[in-house]
Amino acid sequence: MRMKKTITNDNEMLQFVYGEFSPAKNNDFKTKMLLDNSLYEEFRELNLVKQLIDESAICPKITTLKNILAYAKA
Amino acid sequence: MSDAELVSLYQSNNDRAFKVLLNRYKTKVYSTIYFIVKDRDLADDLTQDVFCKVIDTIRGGRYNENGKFQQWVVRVAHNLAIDHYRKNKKYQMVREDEDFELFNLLPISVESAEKTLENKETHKMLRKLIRQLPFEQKQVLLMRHFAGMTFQEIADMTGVSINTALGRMRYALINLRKMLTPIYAYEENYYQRQ
Repeated sequence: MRMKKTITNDNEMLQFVYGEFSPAKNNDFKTKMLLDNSLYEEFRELNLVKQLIDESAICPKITTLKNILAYAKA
Repeated sequence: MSDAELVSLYQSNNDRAFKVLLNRYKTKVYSTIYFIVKDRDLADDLTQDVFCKVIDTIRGGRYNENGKFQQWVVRVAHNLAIDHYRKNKKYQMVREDEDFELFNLLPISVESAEKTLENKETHKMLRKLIRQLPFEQKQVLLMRHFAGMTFQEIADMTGVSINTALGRMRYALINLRKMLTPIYAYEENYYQRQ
């Protein structure tokens, strides 16, 4: 039987930040953070960087979009 | 309307359906390419190539991604950007064990960024930092943020364990955070001296 890999605590934080926990595990992790300020600080910082990454996305030029749409209609 | 429905409509010659798909994913595709090729004009050209390939695939009846259009289109973008640089021998993959002088140089702080999330300069600086990330970290970051893949899906795609994929993303965020931090510390000290 294949052994299931254990995910480390550091990586648990990441799964929490990216919303990849089940609702039950999510609540457990929130409780952990309430009891551990350093854990909450780490969450706050990682979450901020995550938010900034999403906001840093950029758009192509209008002419590029027009070219694509013209090709789509052709 | 779901991506699958839009693809289906476009297959039935509804051009507006494709326009919706383009608007939905233009930023994710363009950003993915730009963070790899590091050149906005080239990113525009390659974005055009990606969507032309998407159009040809859908029209040719070859699209079969089981409803995961976003993952597919961003993967096409990612692969095209990497292929381009490999062919042109300009792309030098930066490994995780290399040092980054940039980590200690950039004038931006997490705290000030928090206060001015809308600040264009902050985002511009962050784009510069993301471009400098080691390849493996950047790949996971792009797949998670722009392709919308889970860490397990990224692990499967890149042939590593989920812990490795999570670890790479963690290092990417920590590296970005480190790069954002030093000047904040400097500013704090500066104001304390006044």
